[in-house]
Amino acid sequence: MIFQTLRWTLLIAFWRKYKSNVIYSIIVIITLVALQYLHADYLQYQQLTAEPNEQHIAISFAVKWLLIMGLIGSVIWMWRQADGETADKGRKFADKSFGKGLGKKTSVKSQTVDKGQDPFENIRAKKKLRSKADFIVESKDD
Amino acid sequence: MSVFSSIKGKYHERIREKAIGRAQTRIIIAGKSPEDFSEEELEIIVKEEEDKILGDAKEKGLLALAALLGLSLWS
Repeated sequence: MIFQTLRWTLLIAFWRKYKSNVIYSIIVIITLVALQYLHADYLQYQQLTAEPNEQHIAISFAVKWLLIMGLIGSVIWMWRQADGETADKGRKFADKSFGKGLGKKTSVKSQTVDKGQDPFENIRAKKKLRSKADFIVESKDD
Repeated sequence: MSVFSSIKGKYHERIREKAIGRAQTRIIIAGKSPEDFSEEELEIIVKEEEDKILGDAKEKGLLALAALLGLSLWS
């Protein structure tokens, strides 16, 4: 019973997080399979005719591979878009909250700070962050 | 090798971004703004959040491994 619940919880969590990716992947797989079948049918049809047109067959191969490359490209583009969206979510949330204002003290202070300036800019660039203990040790060294 | 190092870099970048997001949320909940803090103070807050994220990830990974191997969840 508990395993069933755990399994469903994991599946639902996975579905909620990757819903769009899963649907898009299924569509891409179906399209690829349909493309293969269509091309195979076309080749069979060409073989059945008395004089198969070699030029048409060559074009069909080129079109097939172009479509496959296009699909792969669109999948990569989709993943990149999804990556960008998740990275921006945190920033947008913070921007929204600052925009609303959190009391007089905060709004007055944020007016004095340059709007384009991000207080976390230097932290973002740092390779390793220091803890409070590191700062204490460093201050004692001086 | 460069592929692996770029993946590692992206992973660290993601964790840093998440930690900054959490730090911002924490500051907002406290009714303050990041501009109220010095760079050192912000660094301490982000570092704490980063450690929490890494700890959570390790814990979740171990739990998932235990669930998959020990409990044979998917059989």
